[in-house]
Amino acid sequence: MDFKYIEQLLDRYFAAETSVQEERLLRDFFAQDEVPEHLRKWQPLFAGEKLMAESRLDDCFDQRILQLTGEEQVKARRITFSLRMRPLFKAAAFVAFAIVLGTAVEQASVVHEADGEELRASFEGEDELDATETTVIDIRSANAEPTDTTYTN
Amino acid sequence: MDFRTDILPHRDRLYRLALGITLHTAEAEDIVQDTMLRAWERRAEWPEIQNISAWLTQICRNLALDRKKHSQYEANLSQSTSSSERLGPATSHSALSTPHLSETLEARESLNILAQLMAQLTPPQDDIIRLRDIEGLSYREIATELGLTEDQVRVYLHRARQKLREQYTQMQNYGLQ
Repeated sequence: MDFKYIEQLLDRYFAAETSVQEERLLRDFFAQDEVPEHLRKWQPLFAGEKLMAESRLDDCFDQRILQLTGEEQVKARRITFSLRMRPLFKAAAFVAFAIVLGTAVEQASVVHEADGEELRASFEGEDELDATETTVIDIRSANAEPTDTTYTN
Repeated sequence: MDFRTDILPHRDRLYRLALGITLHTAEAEDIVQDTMLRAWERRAEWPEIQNISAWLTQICRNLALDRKKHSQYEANLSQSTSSSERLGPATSHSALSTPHLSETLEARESLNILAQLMAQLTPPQDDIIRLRDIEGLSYREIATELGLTEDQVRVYLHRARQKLREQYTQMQNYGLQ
C-alpha cells in the first residue's frame, strides 16, 4: 500500500476533511499487524475506534428486554379490529352457510314433494286410464259374448 | 410510536456510548437495559418527543455517568478502607475491572486511550467524535441528531480532531495519565 496516501489521509482526517469511507480505510489500515514504524504511534487510536465501532449487544438482549417490559403481551393485545372480529365473522359465516344450506334443503324437499305429487298424479291418471281401458275391454267382452252365443246358437 | 421499531433499534448505539464511558461490558449492558426500561416507563411522553435518539442518548449518558461515579466512589472507598484498616487488597469491581471488552492487553489499552481522549473533549465535540468515528454517521445525520447545522458539525469536528491529535501526542510522549 502507498504509505504517502495514508499520511495524507491522516492529515486530512485531523483537519476533518475525510469522508466516512476514507476514515474506515484508515481504521482498517491500522488494524493490520504490519504497520510501518513511523505510523505505528497512531495504531492504538484507530484500533480503539474500530473495536468500539464493532461492539454489539448479544442476541438475548432483545428477548430479555421485551420480557421485562411485557411488550410481548402488549403486542398480543394490540390486535386489529378485523382480527378481533374474526371469530364473530366465522360464526356469522357459519350461520349464513347453515341458513343457505337449510333453505336449499327445504327447497329441494318442496321440489321433491311437488315432483312426487306430479308423479303420483300422473300415476293416478294412468290408473284411471287403465280402469277406463278395462271397462272398455269389459264392455267389449260383454258385447262379444252374445255375439259368440249367437254364433254358438 | 412503537417500542420494538422506534426504541429497541437504538440498543447497540447506546451500548457503545455506555461502553465508552464505563469501559465495562456488563455494566454497559446493564445501563442500556435500564435506559430501555426507563424509556418504557415514560412511554406516555413518546408522542411529544421530537428526537427520540437524542432523548435516549441523554438517559443513557446520565445513567452511565452515575454508574461510573458510583463505581469510582466504591473503588476509592475500598482503597481507603484497605489501606487504613489493612484488610488486604481491594476487592471492589470498579469500572475498569474485569470483564473488559477484549482479552488482549493492546485492545484494552486502545480502548482506555480512546476513553481518556473522549473524556477530555467538551460537548458537543465528544458527541460529534462518537457519532462520526464510532457510529460512522454523515455530517447531515450528525446535524440532525444534535440539532446543529452541517457547517457547525464540520467546525466542531475540526476542533475536536485537532484537540484529539494534541492530547494523543501528549499521551504518547508522556505516557497514559
